[in-house]
Amino acid sequence: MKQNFLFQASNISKYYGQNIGCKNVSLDINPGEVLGIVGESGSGKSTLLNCIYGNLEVDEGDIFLNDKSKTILNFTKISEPKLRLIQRSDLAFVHQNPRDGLRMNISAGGNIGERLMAIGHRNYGEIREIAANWLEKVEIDVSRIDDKPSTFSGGMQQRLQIARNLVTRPRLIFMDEPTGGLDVSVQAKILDLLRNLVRELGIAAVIVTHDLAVVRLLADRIIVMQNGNVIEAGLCDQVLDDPQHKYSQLLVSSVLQV
Amino acid sequence: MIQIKNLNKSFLLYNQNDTNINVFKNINFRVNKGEVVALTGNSGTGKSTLLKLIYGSYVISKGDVLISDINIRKSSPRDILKLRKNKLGYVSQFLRVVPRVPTIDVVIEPLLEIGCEKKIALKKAQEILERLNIPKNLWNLSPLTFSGGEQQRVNIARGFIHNYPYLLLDEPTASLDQNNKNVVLDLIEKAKLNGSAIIGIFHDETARNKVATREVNLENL
Repeated sequence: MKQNFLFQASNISKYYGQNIGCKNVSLDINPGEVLGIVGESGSGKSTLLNCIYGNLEVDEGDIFLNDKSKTILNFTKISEPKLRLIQRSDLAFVHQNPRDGLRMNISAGGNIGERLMAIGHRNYGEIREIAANWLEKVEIDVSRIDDKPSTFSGGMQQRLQIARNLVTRPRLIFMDEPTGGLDVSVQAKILDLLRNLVRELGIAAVIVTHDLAVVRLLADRIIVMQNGNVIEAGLCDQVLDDPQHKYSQLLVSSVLQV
Repeated sequence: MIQIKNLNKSFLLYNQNDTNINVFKNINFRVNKGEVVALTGNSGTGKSTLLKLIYGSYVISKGDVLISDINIRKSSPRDILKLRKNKLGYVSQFLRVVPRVPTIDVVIEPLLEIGCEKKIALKKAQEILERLNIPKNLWNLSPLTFSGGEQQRVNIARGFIHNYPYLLLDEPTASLDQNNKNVVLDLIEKAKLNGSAIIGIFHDETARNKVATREVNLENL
C-alpha cells in the first residue's frame, strides 16, 4: 500500500439478495483529489458510495482510511462507534436531498453547530461565530442563522448541508448527486463553491452524478459503472472525450449539446 | 523535448455499427526546446487529434509520445495530471469553465494550482489580460457571456500565465482581429525564446509563417 494515499477500497461487492449492488470495485484516493462516479440510474453508483462511506455493510472487500494521525483503519474491522466517529470527523457525506442531511427542526446555525459539538466544541459563542462564518462562506445571509432550514429554498438548503459537512474540516467528502434537483443557476454556484473549497482546504471528494458536465468541471478522474461493475476508469477528460468501452461511448454520446 | 514515435490513432465506434476510423499511422517527429512546430494538412487529417493524444485526452492506439522522459502512453492519470499542472499547457479552441465564475478567477487558476500566492497570481493575470486587450470592466464577469474572440483570449491568458516548458496550441489566433493576433504571436515568440517546445495548429498562413520554426504536414507522413 502506498504511503501517501488517503482512502482505498479494494474489491468491494454488495449484493441485494440475488441482485448485484456493486461487484468487485476498487478505487483509491489521494489527498485533494476529486473522483467522479458516473453511470445511469441503477448502475450501482449510490450503493458503492454508501458502502465505502460505511453506511452499508459490504459483503466482500476492504475499506482503508489513512486517518489524521496516519493510522490505517480498516472499516470492516473497526467498532461501530469508532466508525461513526470517523464518519463525523475525517469523512463527510452530502446527500442529494438536503432534507436527508439536515435536521429540519433546528436552526441553520444549530445545524452547523451540532457537528462542532459532536467533535468536542463546547463554547457557545465560539460555535455561533464559526457557524456564522460558514453561512457566509456558502453565501447564506447571516441574518438567517436562527431560521429553520425548512424556510430555506432548495439551493440554500443544499449549501447549508455543505456547510454542516465541511465545518469539521473532513479530509474526504462523499457527495451523492450534490447538484441534482437544483435550478441550473444554483448548480453553477454550488459547483464553484465546491471547487474552491476543495482547492482551498485541500479536501478530497468522491462525487456520484449522472451529469457528465458536472464531472467534467469537478473531477480529476472518473469511473464509469454499469450493472454494478466498473467498466471504465481513467483521466476525466480522456474517458469523456475518447471512451473505450461500448457503454461509456453510449453514455457520452447521449448527452444533449447546449 | 517532445517526441512522437510511430504514433497511430484509430477510433472504434461501437454504437455506430462498429465503425473503425483510422486517423493516422506511423507519425514520427520531434520538437526541441525553443522550437515551434506547426501542424499542417487539410481538415480531418488529425491535427487536433494529435494534440489531444499528446495531452492525454485521447488514448494512444499504438506508438509513443514522450515529453522529456515521460511516456504518455505508460503514464497513470495522476502522472498526467501532474505533468499538465506543472509542465504541459494546452490552449484549446473552446472555453470550458464553471458558469458564473469571474474571468480573473478563471485566469489565475493554473497558478493557484501550482501553489502560487493569490496576490502574485492576480497581478500576473491583470498584466496578461491587459496585454490581450480584455477591457477591465469585463474581468469580474464570467467569460461565458463574452464574444468568441474574447473567450479565446481568456483561454490564451490561461495558457500563457504560467511558463509551460511544453505548449500545445489549437488555433490560438483563429477568431482574433489583427491587433490581438499580433499580441498572441508575440506571446508565442516569447515562450519560444524562453525555451518552450511548442506544437501548434495555425490555419492562418501569415501567423504560421511568423512563429513556426518548422512545419509537419500530416498528409505526407
